[in-house]
Amino acid sequence: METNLRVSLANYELRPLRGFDDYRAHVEELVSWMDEPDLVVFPELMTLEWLSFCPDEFKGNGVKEARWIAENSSTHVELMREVASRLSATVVGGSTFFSTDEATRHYCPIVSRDGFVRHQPKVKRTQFEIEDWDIQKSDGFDCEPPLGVLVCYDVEFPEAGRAFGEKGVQVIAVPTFTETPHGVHRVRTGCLARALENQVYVVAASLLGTLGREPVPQAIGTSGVFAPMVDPFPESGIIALCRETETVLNHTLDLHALEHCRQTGDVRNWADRDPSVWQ
Amino acid sequence: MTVRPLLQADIPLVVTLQRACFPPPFPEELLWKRAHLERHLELFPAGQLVAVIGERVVGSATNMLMGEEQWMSRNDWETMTGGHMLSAHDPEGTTLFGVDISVSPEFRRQGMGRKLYEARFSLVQSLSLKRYGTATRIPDFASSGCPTIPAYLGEVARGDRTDRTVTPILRMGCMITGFVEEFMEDKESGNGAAILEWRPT
Repeated sequence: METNLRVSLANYELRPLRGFDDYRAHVEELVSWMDEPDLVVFPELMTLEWLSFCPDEFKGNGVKEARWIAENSSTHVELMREVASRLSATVVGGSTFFSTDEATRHYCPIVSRDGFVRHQPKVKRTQFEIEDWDIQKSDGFDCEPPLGVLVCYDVEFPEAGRAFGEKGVQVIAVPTFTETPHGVHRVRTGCLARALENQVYVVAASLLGTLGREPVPQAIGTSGVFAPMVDPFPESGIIALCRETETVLNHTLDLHALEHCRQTGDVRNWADRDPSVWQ
Repeated sequence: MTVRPLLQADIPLVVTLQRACFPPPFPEELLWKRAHLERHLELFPAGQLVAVIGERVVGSATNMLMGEEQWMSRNDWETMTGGHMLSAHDPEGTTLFGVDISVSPEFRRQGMGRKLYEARFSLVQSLSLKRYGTATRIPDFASSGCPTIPAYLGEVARGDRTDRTVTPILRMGCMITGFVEEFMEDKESGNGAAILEWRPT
């Protein structure tokens, strides 16, 4: 098995667009800043950027806007497939809304380097998603080791990360979109907690910028690479953070170091877990 | 013009850029070679920046992280940075140390240096570091007739005198906070260097 995994995390800043061609150009610009990755992560709900050219008949109505985004989701998924093919990388394609049997749902499309697409639902919904967008509940955490995906709020809970760990996941990718410092700290703390308790890497990609109105008055956050707080990783568990501006965080994860710390560390959080407590 | 991360594919362009930016008498052995830049990318990818116009790489900035003791040591270039491979890089350091900045001569005076400095300062803030810091040549010292480096830097800081390297960095918002007598062999600078820093508010 390859022991080094190169990741590119898109710190993606919303900009006013005139249409889907502009969206493609924006995504392609960030892709051109990615440095030969094996794994690419885009942020949660990057397709909210489309609301800058949303038809007037839907504008300002959250449920209709979400529905309109969902009806165009194939545009986003196709673009992510192109990115996966061009970079020959697995692409965690941020997340967007999808339409299924009259319901609007929230999934992350994950594209393998040979173009196969699967969807990881965002399982836990925030109040805004329920009340303003009428997003219906979706279930099921699935993973393809060494990769598992938890969309934003889902990383604030321990159970899915643990289930991923049991299946052999070594890297949890987290597309995220937060609007307040509280949210930024919640997601970062969640990332660090999942990294600690499962002794895995967590890589998060952040949305930033503004639509100038709801639903994105202001998105804040920084993409980052997190690890358990054990030697040889940094004391804080924070391996890398990018600048608070549109950029790409390129980093190489050493999977061997993860195994090494699981087997030889002063503390062995993974080996010392006790499922009997909550099973 | 955009500031973006340095990519492996940019490395040959940055090597060329360096030659254009630092002609003799700047010592050629101080310019980055391919292996150096590759190592910088391994050590601290988020700290390696380029400025681009379209496809063209017109500026670059190399940065490392430095622990407090190392930053306060006021040592020579080799000891402070660990040499071309930046072996003194400390992933848990509290100073973003600016090792170099290059702007293509034909693109100078267009705000490119400022963009690269702003990127450095925003990195200091994102990483919650104590400061951006650097130690730089003082190429107009030897010809100034000033008796000592601190006297010279005092005049540069007050604006009574300009230094090709230090004055532009002061304009970026940095302050002179020290000096090194024996920084590197460099006739123009009398072998000395200025220590400058910027702190987040």
